[in-house]
Amino acid sequence: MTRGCRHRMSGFRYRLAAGVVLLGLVGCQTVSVEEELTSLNRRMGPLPAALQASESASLAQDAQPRVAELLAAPLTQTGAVELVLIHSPAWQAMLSSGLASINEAQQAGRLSNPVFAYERMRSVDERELARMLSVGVLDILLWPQRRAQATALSEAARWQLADNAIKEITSVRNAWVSAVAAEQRLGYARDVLLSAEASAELARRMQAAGNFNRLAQIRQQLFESQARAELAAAEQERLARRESLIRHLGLDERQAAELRLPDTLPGLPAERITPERIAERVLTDRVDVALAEARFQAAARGEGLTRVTSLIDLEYTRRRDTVTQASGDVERISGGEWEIVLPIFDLGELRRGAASRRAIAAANDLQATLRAASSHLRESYAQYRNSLAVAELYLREVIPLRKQASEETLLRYNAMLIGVFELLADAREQRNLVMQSISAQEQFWLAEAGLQAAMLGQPVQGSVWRAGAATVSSEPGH
Amino acid sequence: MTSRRDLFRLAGVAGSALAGATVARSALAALPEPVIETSAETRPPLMPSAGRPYKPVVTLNGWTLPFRMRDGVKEFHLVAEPVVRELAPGFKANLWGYNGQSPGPTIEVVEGDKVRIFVTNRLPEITSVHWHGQRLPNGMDGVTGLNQPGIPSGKTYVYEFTARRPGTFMYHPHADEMVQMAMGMMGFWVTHPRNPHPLIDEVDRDFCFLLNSFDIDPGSFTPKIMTMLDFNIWAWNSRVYPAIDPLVVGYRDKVRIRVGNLTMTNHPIHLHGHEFLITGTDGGPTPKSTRFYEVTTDIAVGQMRQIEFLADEEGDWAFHCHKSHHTMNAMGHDVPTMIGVDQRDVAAKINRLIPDYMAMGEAGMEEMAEMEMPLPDNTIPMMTGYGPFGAVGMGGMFSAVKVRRGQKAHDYSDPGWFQHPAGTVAFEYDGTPPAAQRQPMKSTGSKTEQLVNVKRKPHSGGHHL
Repeated sequence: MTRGCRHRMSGFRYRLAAGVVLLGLVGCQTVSVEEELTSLNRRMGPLPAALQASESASLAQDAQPRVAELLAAPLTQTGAVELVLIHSPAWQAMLSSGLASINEAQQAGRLSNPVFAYERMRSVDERELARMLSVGVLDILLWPQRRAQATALSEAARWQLADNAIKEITSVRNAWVSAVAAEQRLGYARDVLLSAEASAELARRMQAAGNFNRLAQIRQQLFESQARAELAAAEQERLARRESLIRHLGLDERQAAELRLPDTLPGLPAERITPERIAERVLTDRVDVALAEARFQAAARGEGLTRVTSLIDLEYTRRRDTVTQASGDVERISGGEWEIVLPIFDLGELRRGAASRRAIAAANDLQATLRAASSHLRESYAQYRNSLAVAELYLREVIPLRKQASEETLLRYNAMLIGVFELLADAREQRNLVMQSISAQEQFWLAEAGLQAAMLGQPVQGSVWRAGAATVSSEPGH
Repeated sequence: MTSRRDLFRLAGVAGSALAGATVARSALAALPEPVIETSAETRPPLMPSAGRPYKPVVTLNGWTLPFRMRDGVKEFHLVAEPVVRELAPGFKANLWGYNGQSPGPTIEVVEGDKVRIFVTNRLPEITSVHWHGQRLPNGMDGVTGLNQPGIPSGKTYVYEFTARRPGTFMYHPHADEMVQMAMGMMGFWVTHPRNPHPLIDEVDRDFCFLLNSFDIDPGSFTPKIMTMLDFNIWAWNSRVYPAIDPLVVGYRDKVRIRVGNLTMTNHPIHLHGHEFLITGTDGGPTPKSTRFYEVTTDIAVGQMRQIEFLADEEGDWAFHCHKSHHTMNAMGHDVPTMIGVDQRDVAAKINRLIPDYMAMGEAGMEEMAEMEMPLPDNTIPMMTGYGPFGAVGMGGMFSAVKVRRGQKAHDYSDPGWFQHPAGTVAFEYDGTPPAAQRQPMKSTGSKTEQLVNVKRKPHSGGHHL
């Protein structure tokens, strides 16, 4: 809209009263940051720490003791989320720009201010003072509709913020899971190398003693090289996962050095998310559905507005001129001016068409979101259940069985049925399986975070399911 | 829905139940009551209760099947059935055998006896009995398909023939033979001479046993029947050292040992301290002109050797297969040689991964014989057994002939370890002058021997008794 440049200067008298009331009404729409954060909290479900927008330096200062406390002990997953909430600049940036978007959306609901123009002209024999006050009449007439649209837009902005927040919290939870898992796997990769080193060293001595030929010795040495390469990969993986978590948490160099993680991933939860709990979630409570709904509302209202605004615009200017003659005579002229845009060259059908199509698109988006919601839930839930089943299989069956296999292997070594090299290969095999088990648990915790997000309505894009972690190697050493 | 296959399976189950339990009593009414042995001990010789007298044999870790005389016919009842045989204490095997054990009982008859053997099949499949080495009607030779139909599960067949030739024989199935023999089905047969025989001497002690082998994966119980060569259990009468009873004889007893080979390889059977003659084979007594003294005789697959000697040296004389791997229990043939490889520091590393790991083999494997480590279930150590001087470190086809003064004629009980006369045990040389009471050497005494300063120090390793 190009309302600003259409103001014309004209003098008029006006009453302030109406304007004051109007301003009062508009002013009511202001929403505090605290209220916005409370609303966000409600939309996201319980969080480990209250959401705070650190718009002042003191808030960041206040959080320091808690940050130090969290970093003093191995950081839990909840602790990681809390750290993000109270400490991460990226999180604060996300929060602030979300609040900014809400403000911007709300702005659309404000009335344009009336324009007051004051003109002083002077000629040889007279001096003219012109005062003009112009208001967009259509603006005022359509104000309830515009306000409703602004409400819908700011609602959309709020849901968008919630969506971003959930996304960020999910990714910090995932970053924590992967960092802990990588740390845990590294220990076992070190064991594998230890075993391979022992094999290779014995093989070198065997060859020196004349008991092994070069080929047999080389084979053992190759195991060692392979284990060394795998350890390097595990070290890089651990570092990358840890650094990713550090970035999510927004730690500085000193804090990053302090960061300690638990030795193991948490045990599998005793209490399971049941399909009933998922069914309980009302579709409209979902962030994605609410966001699509708000966008649709905004688009629909926008369409209604455009139907009018594309055709006409109406502005009224009250003008009052005071002309003072050189003689001292004062002449007062006052009057009003109506300004109407004539739909001659542009009948506005394109704007109406665009608005109507945006509304249709938003309606279809809403439909698509509604329909996809249950599918996302089904997939996330299936991932949750299946990864839980696999992780449990590893913990309850595969690892105990593998341990028994190793015990039996040791018995076979004791009975001189196998040699030390087979025993060491078995130790490597066992560690590799433990690493697979850790990956399976990692998968579960990723799927769990994914399901939590999906239940709130922030479906994880793409599958976290990796087929590799679901395969159980049954090779009992060779 | 029941498929054809299920029906067959059900039929199979029914068949085995029949074999196990429902041999009808009426069918058995005319049969001699089957005698079932529950122990793997060596039973004393079974003196004949009827018929012509003979001097019975002693079956090593086995027994002789009692018979009944009916109308001048010696009747035996063999029951082919699944058994659990104790190969050694702590090591049992699911085998197939006869009358409760594998091998089956020894059958003893006298040359010219009319013999009737009832064979009841309690196995889940057909069987038959081949009377290895016997002269008999072709239809009694027991080869399934060729000479007779297989004996179905749950049925009893009768074999009848006259023991025409004195000698040493075996019996074993000739139906699904590979499987049934791999499962331990075999037995001994002795036909004693009717009258004094110029080539068959009377002896004081007459032992017999079969050489057999199994492939039992350590920790399991049932032999792998498809194994052709790589057996890991080398047994005498389905028994391995240290569980093979000693062959106990009196000083100056004339001893006969009959050994049949039903493994898949030859076994050079070696006796310490004596020389023996081979007095018979499966073909009968050997002509005297062919006999010469030996200390080892190789027994080929499916062969029988009958050796005789005078036990005129007291002591505990080792008696074993001379293939040294056959005097071991189950072992891994791919276990690498660790001799000369210092493992100590590496072992510490390995212990971080496998806390119970113990380095072995650096100086050979004798330490294995002394170590007692946890093994897989149902497994006896590869090398084991203790004597008065410590670990023997043997297994498989190994026992001892114990020659003792004063061992009573029918007493086969173990007299314990030999008490060596003073000065007759190898001792450590420690550089001090020879003691005056030193036993004179049998040899004339070479200069070297006289120069060697020796001191008796017997029983240096006796703490393992």
